Amino acid sequence: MPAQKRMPIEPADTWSYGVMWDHISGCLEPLTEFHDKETELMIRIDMPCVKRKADVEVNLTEDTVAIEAKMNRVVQYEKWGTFQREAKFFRYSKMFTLPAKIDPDHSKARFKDGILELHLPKKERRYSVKVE
Amino acid sequence: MKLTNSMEGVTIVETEDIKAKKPVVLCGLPDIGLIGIIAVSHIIKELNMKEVGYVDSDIFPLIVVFHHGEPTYPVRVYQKDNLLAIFAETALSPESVHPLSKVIVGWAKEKNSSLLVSLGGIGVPNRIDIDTPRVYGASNSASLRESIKKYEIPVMEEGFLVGPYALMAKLSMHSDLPNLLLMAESYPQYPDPGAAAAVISALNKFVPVNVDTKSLIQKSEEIRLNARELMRKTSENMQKMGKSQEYELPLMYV
Repeated sequence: MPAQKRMPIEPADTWSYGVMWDHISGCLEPLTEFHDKETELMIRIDMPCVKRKADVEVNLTEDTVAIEAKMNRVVQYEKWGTFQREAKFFRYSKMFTLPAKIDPDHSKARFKDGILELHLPKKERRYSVKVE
Repeated sequence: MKLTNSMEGVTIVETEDIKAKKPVVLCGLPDIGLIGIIAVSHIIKELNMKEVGYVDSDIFPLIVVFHHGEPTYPVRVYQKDNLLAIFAETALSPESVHPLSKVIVGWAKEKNSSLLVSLGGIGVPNRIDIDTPRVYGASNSASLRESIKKYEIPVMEEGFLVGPYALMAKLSMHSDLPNLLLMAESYPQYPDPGAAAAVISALNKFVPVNVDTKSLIQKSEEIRLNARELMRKTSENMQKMGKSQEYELPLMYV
């Protein structure tokens, strides 16, 4: 699994570690699915309320992935959780540190029904050994 | 209030007098894609089923749920005529699954249930490319297996099933209680209202609940958004239960 940067939390909210939202910046952490395959890393990210691929930004380095996406509407909760206060969310954000170096130039992304799928080819070269 | 069935610290409490003749019991527990929870919750709402009880235990998460200002239990029992539904809106730890499954099967038997139905999902890697998820069926009853085939639902022929529905299927065999499992192709780790709609359509063939799934599809994004944290906790619990074994091949020697 890649290291995943969790949502930032308010200093007082130490009990809320691991929550998937940050109401101050209006940001939600999306659910993700990660597959470490032989030649590539595959990451799927579920982002309901994101409609257009133009609203999705993917930034890659050899060992990180950063996702930002804008929702098509502001999702508003009048009484969010036990806080009982108004919360508005309008974007998703997620950052991964990858377990292997990838080739950003040959990486591919597709977006369907609010799900972003990334195929990130591994950079490491593999050599086959003849079995005698 | 009546304590009806208790097993290893898990108890079903009936808050209303449940009078039902050979009821069908639907189960919506946290599993792959939260299919059961989404489907049973939709059926409860659409049929305007009445809350008639709850399931509680010292080994359940230390939570109470508030709805419209009123505290309630996270695992509840609903009824409409001869249809009963058990629905959980919290993730359940692997430790609680065994006694919970036992108590549900024991209670269904006590109610002289004609059928215990588990609605669930089968995680498929290519779900993103599937517009209409296929539903698979399994049963401990030969006549129900015939019905599954008659309705052109693929029967789960080989493989492992892990989790609460697996236990309920196993315990139903022992209790001679007809058990039906309907499982839709689903995103393994995301809430999947589309797959829940498919499973409701399949259920309609066996139990004519006649529930429309259009509104479920319309609310799909809202459900996916609101169920994210429950899905994440459920995925963590499924991993602890050894859910990955469902992707292994069983030993074929008989």
